[in-house]
Amino acid sequence: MNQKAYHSEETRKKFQKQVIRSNQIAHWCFSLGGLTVLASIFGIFIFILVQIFPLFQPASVKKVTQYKVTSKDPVVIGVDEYNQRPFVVDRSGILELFNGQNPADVSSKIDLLQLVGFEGSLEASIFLEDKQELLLGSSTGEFSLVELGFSSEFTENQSRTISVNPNVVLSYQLDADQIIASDTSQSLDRRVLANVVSKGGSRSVYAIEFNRGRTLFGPGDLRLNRVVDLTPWIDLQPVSVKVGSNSSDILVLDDAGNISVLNLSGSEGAQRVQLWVPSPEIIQGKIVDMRWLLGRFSLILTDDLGFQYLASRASDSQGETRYSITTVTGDEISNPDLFSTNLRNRVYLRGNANEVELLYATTLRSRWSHSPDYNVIDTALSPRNDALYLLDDEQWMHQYSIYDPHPEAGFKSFFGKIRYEGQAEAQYTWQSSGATDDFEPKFSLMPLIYGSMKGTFYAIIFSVPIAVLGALYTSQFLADHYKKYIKPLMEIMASLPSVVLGFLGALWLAPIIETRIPSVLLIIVFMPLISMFLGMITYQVNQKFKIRFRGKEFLFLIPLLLFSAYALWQLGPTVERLIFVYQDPVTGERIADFRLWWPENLGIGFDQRNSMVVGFMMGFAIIPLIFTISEDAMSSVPTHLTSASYALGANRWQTAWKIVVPTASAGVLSAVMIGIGRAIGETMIVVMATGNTPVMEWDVFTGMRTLAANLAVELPEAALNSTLYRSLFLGAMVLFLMTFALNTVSDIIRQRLKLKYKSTL
Amino acid sequence: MNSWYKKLLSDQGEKFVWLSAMGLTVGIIMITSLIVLVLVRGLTVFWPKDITYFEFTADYDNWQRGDILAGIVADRETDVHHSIQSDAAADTELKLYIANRIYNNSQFIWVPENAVRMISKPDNIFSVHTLDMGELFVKPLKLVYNNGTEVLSNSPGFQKQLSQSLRENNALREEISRIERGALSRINKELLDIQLELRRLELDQDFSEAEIERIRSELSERLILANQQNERIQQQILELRESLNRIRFEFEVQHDRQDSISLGDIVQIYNPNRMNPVQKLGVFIVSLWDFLSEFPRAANMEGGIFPTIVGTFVMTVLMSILVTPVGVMAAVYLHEYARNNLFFRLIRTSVSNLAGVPSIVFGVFGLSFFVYFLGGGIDNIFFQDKAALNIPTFGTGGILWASFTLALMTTPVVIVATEEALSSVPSGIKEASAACGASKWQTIRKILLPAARPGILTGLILATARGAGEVAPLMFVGVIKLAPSLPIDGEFPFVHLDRKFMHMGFHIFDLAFQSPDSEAALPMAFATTLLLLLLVILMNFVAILFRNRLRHAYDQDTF
Amino acid sequence: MPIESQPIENILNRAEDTYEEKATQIEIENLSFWYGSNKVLHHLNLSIPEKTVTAFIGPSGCGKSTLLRCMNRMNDMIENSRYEGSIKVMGQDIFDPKLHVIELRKRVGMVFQKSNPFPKSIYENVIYGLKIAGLGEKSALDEVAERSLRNAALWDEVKDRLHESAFTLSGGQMQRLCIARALAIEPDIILMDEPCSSLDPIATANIEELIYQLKSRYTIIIVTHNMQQAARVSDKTAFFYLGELIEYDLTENIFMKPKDEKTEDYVSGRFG
Repeated sequence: MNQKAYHSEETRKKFQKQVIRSNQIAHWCFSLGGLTVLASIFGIFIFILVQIFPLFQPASVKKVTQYKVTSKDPVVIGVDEYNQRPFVVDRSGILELFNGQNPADVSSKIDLLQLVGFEGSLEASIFLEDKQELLLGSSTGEFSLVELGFSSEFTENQSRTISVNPNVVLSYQLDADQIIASDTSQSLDRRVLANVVSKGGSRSVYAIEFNRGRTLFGPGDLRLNRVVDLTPWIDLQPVSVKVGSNSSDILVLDDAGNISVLNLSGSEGAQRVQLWVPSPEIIQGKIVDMRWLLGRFSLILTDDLGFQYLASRASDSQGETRYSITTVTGDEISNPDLFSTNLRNRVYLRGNANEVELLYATTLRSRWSHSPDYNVIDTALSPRNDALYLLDDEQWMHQYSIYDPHPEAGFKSFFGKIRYEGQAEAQYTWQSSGATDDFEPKFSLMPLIYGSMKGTFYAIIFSVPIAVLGALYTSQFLADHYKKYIKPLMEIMASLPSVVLGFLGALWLAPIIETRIPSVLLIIVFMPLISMFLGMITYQVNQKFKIRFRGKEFLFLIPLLLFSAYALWQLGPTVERLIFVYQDPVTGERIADFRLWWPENLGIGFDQRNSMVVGFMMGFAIIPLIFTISEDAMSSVPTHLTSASYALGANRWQTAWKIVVPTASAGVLSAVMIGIGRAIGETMIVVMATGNTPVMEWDVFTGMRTLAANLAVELPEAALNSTLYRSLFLGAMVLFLMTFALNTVSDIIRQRLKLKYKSTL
Repeated sequence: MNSWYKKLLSDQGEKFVWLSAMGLTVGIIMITSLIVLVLVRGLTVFWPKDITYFEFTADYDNWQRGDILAGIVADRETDVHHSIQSDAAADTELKLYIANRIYNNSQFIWVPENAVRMISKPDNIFSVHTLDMGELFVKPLKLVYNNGTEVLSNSPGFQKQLSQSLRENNALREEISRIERGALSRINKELLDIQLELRRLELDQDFSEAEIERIRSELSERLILANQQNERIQQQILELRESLNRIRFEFEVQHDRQDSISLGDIVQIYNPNRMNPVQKLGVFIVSLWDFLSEFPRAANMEGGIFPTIVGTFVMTVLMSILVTPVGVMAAVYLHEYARNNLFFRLIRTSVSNLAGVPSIVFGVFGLSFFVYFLGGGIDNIFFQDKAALNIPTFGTGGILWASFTLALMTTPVVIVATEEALSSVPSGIKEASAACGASKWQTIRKILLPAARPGILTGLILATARGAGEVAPLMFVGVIKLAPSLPIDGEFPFVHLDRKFMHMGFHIFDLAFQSPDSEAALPMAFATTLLLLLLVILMNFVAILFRNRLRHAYDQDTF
Repeated sequence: MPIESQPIENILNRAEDTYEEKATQIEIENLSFWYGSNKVLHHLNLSIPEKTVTAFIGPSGCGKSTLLRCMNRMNDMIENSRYEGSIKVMGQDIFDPKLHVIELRKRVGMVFQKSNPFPKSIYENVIYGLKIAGLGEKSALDEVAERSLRNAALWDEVKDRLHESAFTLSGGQMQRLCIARALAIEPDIILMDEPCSSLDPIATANIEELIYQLKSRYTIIIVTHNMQQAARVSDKTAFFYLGELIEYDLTENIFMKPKDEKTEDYVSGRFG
């Protein structure tokens, strides 16, 4: 055995044990470290999924408790904003209040009749849901509106208690003995009450208008202004009445199912604006009930067969506001006599004795449906849409909790066409915030996806030709000693921060190009032609005077192209005066201005920060990307293929175009894919260089709003975990999947390209 | 005739070769023209330009005929006259930079060329850079000292006196800012701590009565002491400010109006028309140095961008410290330890895909995971008292979370680069090392990593360059418009990871789109763009040098 | 007459010292090996004597390199490979889990077909094996480096540029550097996988001469395509065909009087 002279056996053994242990440790920590890093990177994907998931969940409704109701003949049930004081009002005017904190408490009672001071007995009472007010009518025709008056105080340990003290808002006198239907709405300076009443069998419709004077300290109290008898304008027997949000439209439904729309303006105190006869093709049966949705802008009409329809006000072609039915709710529900709305969103409850359903009005998606084991005689939704009360016929009021943070979300609202309030027809709209507080957010992602596509399209049609042609030239025709300068230049171009590109695009390029579009068009058209013409000339010159251009073409081309670009830039205005002349219809003056000519002839807008600017600036980000990868692909085409082609007498262009490009086509394609991936994900350039208008037009001279830009603009202000916040994440997910798919496809192509070459080497 | 034509067309495809040459040329023209544009527009901001007198030859806007206006031609716009009928010559408009923002409402006015006449370049007109009133074009009259003595502008000693007192003022301002950043901020911190402790005293009840009394008195004592100190420092600063304003500078503006400002408000004053190029170069260097070393003033439109440089630098360093071990570890794991079944092959392709994912998605993730989740957690554990007063330390954006987010964003780039570097090491060497009895970890440590080091460094620098230029995600995780304090300063613990910071990229976005007067902010935006561009190009240059060294090292061996 | 084209007969009689039987160093019993699903070695039984040069010959793809790589468990680095049977080196079964692979590889050095010096200096290449085994003192390292380079007949050519990069060496020098590197850890066995296949005739002659000298102190197993080389350097030769051991005997017997018909065809160059 060779003597191990260099050091003793035990130290060698000890050291070796140490080496083996450290090898084991390294194995463990690399595996652990590597996996955690990979997991954290993919954590993004999971994290976004977690944010999106709640958007697509149905409402979760769970039974909480129930209250024992003493009154025999309840008219209405309801609850305050904090679900602490649910109440029942019975026909005799007794208000029974329960305690939400511990349902077992004995309910307290308030005698409203005594408060209002009616002589006669209480004939009728109607509950106005969205104002939490009760309209009481006595047999002597006396009416008074009572507000329940919830107010909350804070006890010393910060817990909130709600006290109820009803007070009379207003009262008036009609000679009628029974209220059939009633509605009220108020605006800043006035309040209108409309009643359908009957007096000895004949029905009439009255509108009672109260004005609110302006005092120094804000709005004064209400004073009765006038009582208008609307019956003459109603042809048939009125069934129910509704007052519009602007407290001037009054809709009266008659027993034939037609709705006459009146308003209180005009000479005789009122006039009929529209006799709305719902067309038979849409309506199966006869309209028997109509109810307002939140905001008193849209209505839910129910016909006698149980179908329900969503209707709303929209200005028609002549600019008149007309009520019309927008959508049908789909499956019918047998005599839906139960209906409740809440004060937070457009979720409403419909149902009958043994089936109850929560629906979101705009998308008409069912959020929850349930058939309780008792039959329901009345329902109520809490103002914040977080509690639901069902009153059964054995005098039990069941309380359910509702958790439905994103009723307006859903596949249809993100990707489908929806007709929102006030829109003439269904369309894709993204509008995340609005002026009024009952504004309805619109989260269709289609305009954003369209914007991303449009931005990418214009970036690609500008960058791909330049990058691929440049790569072909560099790999096949460029002299080698120039190559080592080109690659670093392109890499520097690739590393330009996108904020610099966005800034230059928006504040330097856009103003310059805006007045010189014809010059830009000339340059785009004539630059290739000039280069090709130069190619032809130099070939002849080369034949005669043997000047060596080969490999150095681009050196000659730089000055020539710069000069021709300058010449074309100056030529622009003269061409504009010849072709793009706009006839001003008013003054008749003929102005040569492309910015006016374009909208007039093609009917699409023109704005300063348009897709051409974005396309050009995105070119800075994409050209180097596509260039480097295509150049690698083309220069890795084996030389024995090109030399074979030359051997057959092909010239250098034929070899390049017929041999090199097809062989490297997979690589070039994958480069273009990666370029597209980068363009779709680009944020800062698009945020700065476009007007970010979510519009769905292909036109090169209008802006766009891409998914990425939308995120950058909206997220800083979006409330945490709101529907807007989560739908932005959905946008991020769509973006993530798009770039992911593109890159994966390009990787697969590139792997196949690599394998193909391995075999031929 | 047609033989000539036919000959022209038979050019053996040369025309297409030149077409492809056009592709490359357009690329080169694009990048060079961009760099030249930014270079020119960025540097001319600091070059003192001559001020000329313009006389109005016709009434225009609220200027009457004969008014004299001092200004510099900033831009010339020939908007070709569009209407066909009238064949008037193209009317060009001049964009005049007239400064004096406080006297006329904006620093730039557009004047038709024919409405104004350039008369003279007076050598007694000065350009005055003030602290908060922007730049003023004035004709100095005299210096008035608070003891009544006056030094007239035409007297010989004026220039010397002026520059001497300016130097003194600069020193005074230096002193004030040193006190404010040092002693004053310490006192404010102390006052905040006392308030926190008082708050904590109220919150937990487990102290006995006596205990509470003792602590309260102790705290009030500290409070009095702190207030006294605060008093003294404020007094000191007041005195310094007093001496700053001891001299008033009287001048004449636009021919008739006379006004005076305190010399303490003036940062720099020079007379461009009378300076030769060498003196102009001196002013150029001084204002360039101010741009790089001072804090921004007047809503970021004046002063320098020192905090953004520090912010970007600290963030980039933090990011590379974070990303290097993480990226290399994951790459070594993927390359050496992971079994290459389908699962890991899928991971490998998707890692390279992640490099292509838009950065905004990482910003979103950073905000919700790092800031709200991790930050919130840290606040609840370590900073309860502050959290109680809902002053979040880590629960809000900061330089730590910005670096984390960018590190996460650039990790895929580093992983891809490292794996490429590792696989470029010939497998023969790995086998040789194993054959010599080296363990896997020894082979990696002694052979693989050293051989792949240049490749790894290139990947790291490319990733850092990309991180430095990124803006979109930073908006969520800690970059703000104007940061009161730097992420690193003299106070313990020197690097404040929870502080929000300013970033060059965001500064450009903010200047260009969110500043009150975007016209005036444009030069500053171009200067910042120039700086950021130079930084990114420098990083790329270093990466390219390394890559060449790497290629050089492997070129001449036999395999 | 260049060494290549001489008939094998007159090469053989160069080995003056007659071969006397030596103790067996490596005992291979019923060894089979699979790459994934295809079986490459089929139930080999072989015992290799110490201090001798054994040549493995056979057509390409017959598994001779795979067998060689099994002996220092190089095949462990290949995914989902599997073996059956045992290889005993000096009585110790190399697949015994108690024996760590780095322990084995310190006793069984290997030289590869393509010379693969580390991208370090010549000196660092040679002492690499020792540094990873824990030897630190410079003096000991210098002494071992010199001795190994002398043993590899490379010392005179590199003694004054020890700290230059190993890549500045020629092909033959690099291969000898790899041999020196293997010798530095003082193995008992040296495996050589076609060491001269990428070398010119002169370099090949140097390597063969070196193997001849090392024979006295190391057990050498060499895989080669070159029949003359096998004849020149080896004492015993094993002929493999399609993963099976056809014949294993003294080199003269294999070349002069092969028992098996396939060996004769291969040795006389009719196929292979």
